[in-house]
Amino acid sequence: MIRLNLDLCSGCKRCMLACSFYKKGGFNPRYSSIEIKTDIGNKPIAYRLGYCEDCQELYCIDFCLLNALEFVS
Amino acid sequence: MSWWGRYLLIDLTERKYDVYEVHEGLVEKYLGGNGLGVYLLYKFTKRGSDPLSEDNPVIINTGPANGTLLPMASKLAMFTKSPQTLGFTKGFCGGEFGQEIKFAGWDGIILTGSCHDWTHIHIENDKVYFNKTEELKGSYTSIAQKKLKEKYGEDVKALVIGPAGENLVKYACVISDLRAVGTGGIGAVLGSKRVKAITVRGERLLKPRNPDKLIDFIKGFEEKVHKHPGVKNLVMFGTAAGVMHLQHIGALPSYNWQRETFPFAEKISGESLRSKVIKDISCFGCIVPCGKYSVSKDTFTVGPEYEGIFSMGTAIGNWDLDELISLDRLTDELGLGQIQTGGVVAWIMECYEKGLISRESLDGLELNFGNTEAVKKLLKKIAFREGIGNVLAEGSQRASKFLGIGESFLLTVKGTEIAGHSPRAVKTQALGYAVSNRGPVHCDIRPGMEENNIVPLGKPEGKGKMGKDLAVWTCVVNSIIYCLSAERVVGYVLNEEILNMVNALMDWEISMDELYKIGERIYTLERLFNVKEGFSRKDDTLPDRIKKECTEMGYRTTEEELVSMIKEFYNAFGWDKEGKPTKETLVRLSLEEFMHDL
Repeated sequence: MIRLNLDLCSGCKRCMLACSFYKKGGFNPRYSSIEIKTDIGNKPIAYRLGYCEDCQELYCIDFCLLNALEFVS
Repeated sequence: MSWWGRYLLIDLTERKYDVYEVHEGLVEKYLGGNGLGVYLLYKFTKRGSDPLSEDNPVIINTGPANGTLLPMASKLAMFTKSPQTLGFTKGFCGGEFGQEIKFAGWDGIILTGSCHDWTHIHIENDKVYFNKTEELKGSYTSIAQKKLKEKYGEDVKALVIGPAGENLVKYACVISDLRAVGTGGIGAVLGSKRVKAITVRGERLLKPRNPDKLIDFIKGFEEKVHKHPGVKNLVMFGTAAGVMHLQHIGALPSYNWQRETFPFAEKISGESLRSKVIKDISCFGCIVPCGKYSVSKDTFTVGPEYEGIFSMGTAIGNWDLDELISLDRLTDELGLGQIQTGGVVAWIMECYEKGLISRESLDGLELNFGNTEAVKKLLKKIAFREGIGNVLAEGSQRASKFLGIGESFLLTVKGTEIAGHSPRAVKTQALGYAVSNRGPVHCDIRPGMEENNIVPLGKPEGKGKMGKDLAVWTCVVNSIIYCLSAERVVGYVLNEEILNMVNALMDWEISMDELYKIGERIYTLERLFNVKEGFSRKDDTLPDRIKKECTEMGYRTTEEELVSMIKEFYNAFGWDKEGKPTKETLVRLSLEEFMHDL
């Protein structure tokens, strides 16, 4: 499973963009299986995983340069 | 390139909307963002129109980088005729609104006419809803956004004005999330149209024209950004990183520019601010978390940015960090353009301390430098146009004329208060404030090369020609639309990095000369907009204090230095001695269609 470290996450939603791009063929965070929620000011406050348990590519982790996401087997 | 080729054209008077198509040829000439913004504004503006009338359009624009994985590219652009300068203006901010326009299937929004009642416009992909919104009138910008999200869903992105915009304060800003489009009084123009808020929800997939080429570029580029030493400083301290450096070189303006060092600079430096930061946050899709989520005793903000520290700190003699955070938040909540607000407050403070205006005339406010409690009361008076606030809402230049005081220490150009980078020490900034088409901002001709001693500080020689290269850079970068803070990574003038970025985003193979010409074309069209409105050489000037009074380090920019730089700058652009583009220049830049305005 993918685990998020809220301390390292800056709320940029880059993981969501990467997921929608590689899995759905275009950019729009609405079509991402991983979701980062932010409050006003963009501070990350929560996240949830959708139906991505079988994803092997892990583009979300690949594009998170702040290392906020990690794969835990 | 992620490009739809269509703008949402909204007629506020008739409450109608339509598609306005923008063909590929225009993109090749103007790129997007800044370039297409000035082109569309030009097309939709009548010469001599009142900025606060239904004749003045507002363009909300995106660029080819919006919504993609390119880091440092989460920007929104707005264009209109400014109620403060009465000429061209543009403004940019981060956040998520620009991307959401793209996801809704539009490249931008063109607002024309005026609403009859206070209105909230909701855009849901192809559909537009006009909602009467008396209940949001008078609300602070964060409250308005919160209410809109409660009603329309957490995922909508909002653009709102505060009480200042509603009350037509000449330097009112526009707020999205906690970011501000601060320049030129665009909030007042929205207020004149009775548009309190715009929300958008977009559910389309944005597809690059050449995905492999774009991702290849992004993969290489993001590594460079991530490892760049200049970025580390930005992540740690935000734009406030520059405070102590500017103090050391004697270019930190304070007390209405009576000084250019601040005795208490350390107390409000980026390093000190760090103690108030609880989270480093990014704009959408960006790997550089330069936003400083800071808390004070009673509130929070994102920032303050360097310009906030100048305008709500050094300029008004405030060195209390908690008060700085509170004032930073208050200006955004009221929807006041922060730089201009700081300029107005600092000016009236100097008037008061010099005995030119009585306490009674200031509605009992004791406006000494550093009195932040009085400043908070004054900001509310300005935003709601109460008492002395009604006079100051017009800006310091108009207030000076009305009150008959303080003309000799006005810090304005084209009727607008100057930003917080020194035009006395930094000669490119002196030129930039004087010639900038939108008034004296630090974002058209950037001060970084001189402030960081990449070129000699305080020397005017060669700065006219260099000013052109800097202006061309910002026009291209603002058309992508890319973050100006990235200059420390991608360089201060056009280079291969920006060229490769443009070619990857657009799937082009243009040359450096062609890209440079796009920048020249954009800046020249901005200039032509102002020429059409009657601007000329006489409007490209600097405040007397900057020209006549030396700083502690002995810096000033004399009239002779300024004249020499302006001459070199005009020549480099192919403009005549009145600052008007020549016919030959318009032909060279393929701007023949605007020839009749010369």
